[in-house]
Formats: sequence, structure tokens, C-alpha cells
Amino acid sequence: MSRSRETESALAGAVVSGYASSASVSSTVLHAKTREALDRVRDGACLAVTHYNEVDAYLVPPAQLSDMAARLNEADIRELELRDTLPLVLAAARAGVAIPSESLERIVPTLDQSWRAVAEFAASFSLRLSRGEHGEPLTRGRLHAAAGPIEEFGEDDDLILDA
Amino acid sequence: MSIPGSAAERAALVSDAWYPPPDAYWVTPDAQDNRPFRYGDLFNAPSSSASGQVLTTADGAHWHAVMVLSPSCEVISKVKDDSLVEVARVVPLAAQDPKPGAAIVAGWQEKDGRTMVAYAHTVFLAGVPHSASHSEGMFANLKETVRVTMADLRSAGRIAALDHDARVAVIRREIYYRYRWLVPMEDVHANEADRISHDPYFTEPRPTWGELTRD
Repeated sequence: MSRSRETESALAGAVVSGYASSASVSSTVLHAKTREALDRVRDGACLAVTHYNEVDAYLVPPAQLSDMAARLNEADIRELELRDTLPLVLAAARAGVAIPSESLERIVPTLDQSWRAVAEFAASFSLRLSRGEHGEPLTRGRLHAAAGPIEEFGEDDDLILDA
Repeated sequence: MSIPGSAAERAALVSDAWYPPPDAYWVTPDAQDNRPFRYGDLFNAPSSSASGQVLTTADGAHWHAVMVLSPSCEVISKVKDDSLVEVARVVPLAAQDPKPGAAIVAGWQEKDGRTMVAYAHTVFLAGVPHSASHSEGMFANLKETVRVTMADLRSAGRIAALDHDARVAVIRREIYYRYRWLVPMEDVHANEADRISHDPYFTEPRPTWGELTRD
């Protein structure tokens, strides 16, 4: 079989049907027919590049690579959030306090719901807020003091506020 | 997008409770007599606002209370009877369902493994131990504010004076509500200490962390 036919055959054998699918191409074939391989990738295929039947690398379309990176990033963030949340939920379960937690509600549905118990627990347990009211990322700010008295000028009486 | 970096970096991010323990909110009745009216203090609601709005519930009952939102200086040094003071309506927790009630008390809500800010427009206020009518938990609704005259507010009467440390917590919560800046409690406290310690006109008594500094 000619080298060109080999390449064609190898690439044609790569069943590409979507994000999760992958096929392989040997490094030799890839070297010989780089353009065809890249065309496949551009069409959405993920190709494993093999060398002596061992996978050495993967060729992934740029969009899919950034999508995968974003998903991994989200998974890392989620893992951190869970790691931050679990001690809080477990401590509340141990203390018998019904903190505002859906996880806790699933684990122990009947706990002390008095505002005082919740307030005392919330004031004493260190937690890390991870999201805003609607799940949006939080803006974390730092305030630095501008030392010294700040002079102010003006009274409401100076102004016509009912015009 | 990047995840928070090192453990130290993450630890440096905000991890403070929104509010102090319930018994750290209000000064004792004896001490209250020596405290001027300030931001965060709890008052009975005047019968009407300066613009004539009647401050009653749909059932015709008086508002439960109001919390002073105007800066302290506007209710101390610049005060006249007809001075206008901004106050936020205070609502009893007992009127809420337990779940949202608990989220208001904590200031956050855990959902799907995430600790989310809850009801950002609310400021939880502990019950006042020395008040028969306000001994249970409450919250100020920062979305419902009115302006009242100082004379009406004074006449309605102060229920409780907020302690300086608790005031820092209220300031921090209001900063979050107004600007959606989650600022460490330590920073708000440091700024308040700096402000008070450099203010020779600060009405006594000062907090222990706000002694006058002469530059």
C-alpha cells in the first residue's frame, strides 16, 4: 500500500462523530499527511497521535480545548466550594442548628430553628462566601484607610432640595 | 478565568461572619443613656415620614421599628428638630417563614455546595434583651427607607443603641448591599477605627479601639 493510501486509510478510519469521540493517527502518518489530519481536527475530530501504538499526544480543535479547560476550571472551583462548604454543614449537624443549608436539610431535616441558635452559630463559624444572591461571582474588595481627618463642607440648608 | 490561587491567598479572602453574636449587638440600658444617637440605632417608628407617608402595615399597625441609616454625625452634631434623618424599616423575623428567616439571620444560604449571600438588602438585628416589645430577632430592610424629622424620631424613642463593634458589621453589610463589594470585616473595622481615632469631635464614649490619635 502506498504511503498516501495508508494515510487516507488511517484518517478515513477515524470515526469522528462529536466532542467525545476520538480516533488515532500514527506519528508517521501525521508527518506525511499533516494537512489532512488537521482538516479532520478542524472538522471537530479529536485525534490521538500514536508512536509504536502508544498514544503520545492528542490533537484537539482549539474551541474544544478551551471548552475542556473551562470545564476543568469550573470543576476545580466546584471542588473548592464543596471543600469549603462541607465542614460548615457537618459542624451545623453536630451542633444541631438549622443553618440555611439545602445540604443540611437533606441530611438532618429537623433541627433547632430558633433565630438565636442560627445567629450564634453563624457568628462563630468561619466560612467563605462563594457566590452572590443569584449565583453570580463575588467582587472582593479591600478598603485602605486614608489616614487623618477629612474636612467636609456644606449644609443641606445651603441647597434648594425641593426645586 | 482562573481559580483562586494558593491556600494563603484563599485564606486572605473574605471569610467573616456577617454579624456578631446576638448578645454583642446592643449596649446595656445604663450605658445607652450615655450614648448619642448613631447610625444603626433602633428606634420606634414615628407615625409618619417627613413627606407625610403613614408608617403603618397593611393592617394599620405601626411599623415594628426603624434603624437609623443616616451617618452618625447627622444625628449628633448637625441635628435640629426639623433635620431629616434616613431610616430603614425594621421587620420582625417571626413574620417570616423559617427558611428565609434563617438565611436572613446568617446572611448567607448554602445551595448546591455554594455559600451564597442571602437577601443582601437585609441586615439582621438581634433581639433587644431589655425591650419587652423587641426581644426577638428582626431585620432592617435596606430597600424600604424613609426620611423622618429628628423631632419625630426623638419623640418615637430609641429602643436600643447599637454597640460600636456591631455597627462595623452593619456598615459592612450596607457596603455590600449598595455596591456589591464584599469587603473583609477587618478592613471595615480598620477604617472605622482610623476614622474615629482621628476625629477630635467624636462624641464620647469612644470604643476601646478608637482612642484619639494626635498626629
